[in-house]
Amino acid sequence: MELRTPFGCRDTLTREVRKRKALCRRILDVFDTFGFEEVSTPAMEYYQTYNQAFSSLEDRQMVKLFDENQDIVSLRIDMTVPIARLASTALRNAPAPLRLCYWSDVWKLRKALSGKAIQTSDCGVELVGSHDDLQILVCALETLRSVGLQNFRLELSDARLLENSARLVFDDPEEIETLASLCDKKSMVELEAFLKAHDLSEEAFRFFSNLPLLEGGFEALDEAEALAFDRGTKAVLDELRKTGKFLEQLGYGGMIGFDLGKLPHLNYYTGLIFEAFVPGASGAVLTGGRYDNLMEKFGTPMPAIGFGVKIDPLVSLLPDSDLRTKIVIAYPPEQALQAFQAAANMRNSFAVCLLEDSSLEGLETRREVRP
Amino acid sequence: MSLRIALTKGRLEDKTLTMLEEAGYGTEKVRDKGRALILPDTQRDIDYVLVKSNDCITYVEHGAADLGVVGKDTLLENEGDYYEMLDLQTGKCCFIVAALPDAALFSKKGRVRIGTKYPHVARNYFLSRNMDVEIIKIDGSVELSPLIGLVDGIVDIMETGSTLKANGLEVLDVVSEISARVIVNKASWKLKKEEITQVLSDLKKAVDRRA
Repeated sequence: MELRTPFGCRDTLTREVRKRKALCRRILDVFDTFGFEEVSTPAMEYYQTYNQAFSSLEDRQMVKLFDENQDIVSLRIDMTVPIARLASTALRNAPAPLRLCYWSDVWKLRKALSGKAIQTSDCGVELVGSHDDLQILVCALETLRSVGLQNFRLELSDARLLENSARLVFDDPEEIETLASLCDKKSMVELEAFLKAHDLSEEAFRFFSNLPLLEGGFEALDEAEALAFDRGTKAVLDELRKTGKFLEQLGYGGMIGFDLGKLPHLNYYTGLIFEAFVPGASGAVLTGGRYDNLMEKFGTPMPAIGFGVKIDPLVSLLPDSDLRTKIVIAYPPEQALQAFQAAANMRNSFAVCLLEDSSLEGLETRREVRP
Repeated sequence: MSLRIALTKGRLEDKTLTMLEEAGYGTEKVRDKGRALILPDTQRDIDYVLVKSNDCITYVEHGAADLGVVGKDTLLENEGDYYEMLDLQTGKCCFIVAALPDAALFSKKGRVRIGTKYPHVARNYFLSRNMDVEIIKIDGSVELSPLIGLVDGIVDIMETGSTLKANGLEVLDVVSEISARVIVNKASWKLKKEEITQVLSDLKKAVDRRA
C-alpha cells in the first residue's frame, strides 16, 4: 500500500497550521465579542439526522459508514444540522435565543482529480430562537473585516422573493424548485425555455426571466420593485431595502450589495440569504441565511439564522506567517539539570528546545529558524 | 480588470472565434497562435486560452478563467458550479439515440446495452424513459460499437448525421438540442461584473444580428 492521504484530503504543515489558527482565532474572537459561545460536536452524525433535516439531501456527497448496530452514520456535511440537533436535545431547555459558534471540519465527497477538497474547515455562528437578522449580518461583516483581506462584498437576497410570486403562478412545488435552481445557476437559456413552456402572464414572465440579473446596489431593488407583480414580493423587497439602509447607516455601505437571483436550497432557507465574495477566491467565502423550518423538523419549532466562513480559500489568500525563531540549548549529559533549569527560565519569553550532545563540554545556546 | 476567456478547441473553435470577431474582438493572435498558450486579444484587455471541452469547465469553476465557451453537451455530461449565461446559437447539433434498424431498442426484452461517450446524459435519458440499461463508455467512434455487436444502441452527438447514415444506423430519438454556451465563474461575475457584462452583451448583439 502506498503511503499517502486519501483523495481530496491533505496534510497541513507547520507554517500553514499557524496561519490557519491565527485566522480562525481572529474570527472566533469576533464571534466572542458578539456573545457567541463555541461548541464542538462529533465528526459523525446518524445519517437519519441529516435525512430528517433536509427534504432533498445530497446524500451521494456524504461519507457513510455502518456502526455496530448496523445504523448508517455519516461524516457531518455541515455544522448547522449538528447544532440544530444539539439545540433541540441537550440545549432544549436552555433560554432562547441560543448563540452558538464553531470551528470545525466538514466532509463532502467530490469528484476525484477535480482539485476540490473533501475535508474542509468552517467557522460559523448559529442564532437559534431569534427573528433578528441584523446582528447576524453585522457579525458577518465584522468577521469578514477581521480576516484582513480587502474588497470583500456581502450580497443579500431573500428566499421569499421567488417563493411568494412563484406560488401564485405554479402549483407544483417541484416546478418552483426547478425555477429556483435555474435562477440560482443563472441558466438564462434554460430559464427562458422553462418559462416559455409554461403559460405565464407577461408580467410573471418578465419578473422571473429578469430575477437572476437583478444585482448590484439599491438600484437592483428599484428594478425588482418595478417588475414584481404581487404584494408579498414587494414587502420582501421593502424589508431588504430597510436592511441595506440600516447597514449603510452603520458604515457598511461600501461592502454590501444585492443579488436577488441567489436562491440556493429553496426548501431549506426561509428568508434572508447572503454570501460574500473576495477577489482571488473562486466561490463564495461566507454563506448564510435564515432557516426557520429546520428546528421544527427536530421537534422544537424555532426561528434560526446563521452563517459559515470557508477557511481554506481564505488561508490560501493570506500572506504566509513569519518564520519562527527558537532557542536551542545543547548540553552534555552530565549537565542536564542546569540545561533544563535554564530552559524553564527562558520559556517565559521564547520557545526553547533541548538537545543532548555528549561531545560538548558545557551548555551551548543558539538560535534556530524553522518554517 | 482584465478578463481571461477559455475557448473550447476543435469543433467549436472556429465558430466561436468568428462570433467574437463579429462582436468586434481581436482574435488574430488566437487564429495564428504558433506555440503560444495564452493569447491576448488585440483590441481589448482580454486573454484567451484554448482548452479541451472538459477542461473549460474546470478552468472556469476554479476561476483560472473568468468565462468559458463550451458546448452544452459537455455541460450536460459534467455537473459543475458556474453560471450559464448565454446561448451563442452556434455549433448546433443534438444528442441522439441511434441503433441498427433491426435492434428494436425500445421494445427489446431483457438487458439493453448502450455505447456512449456521455454516460451521464445516456443514463438520465433512459431513466426518464424508465428503462434500466447497461451503459458502456466508449472514447472514440461510438458509431462502431453497435456495428460489431458490442452494444444494442448508442447515445451520441449528431451534427449532420452522415456518419450514422453511412454506417446504416437509424436515429430513434432526439435526447436534447446542443449549442455553444458561455459559462461564467461565480466569483468573477461578482467582482468583474462590468467587464463580463460587456462581453456578454457584445456577444448577445452578435447572436441577435445573425438571427
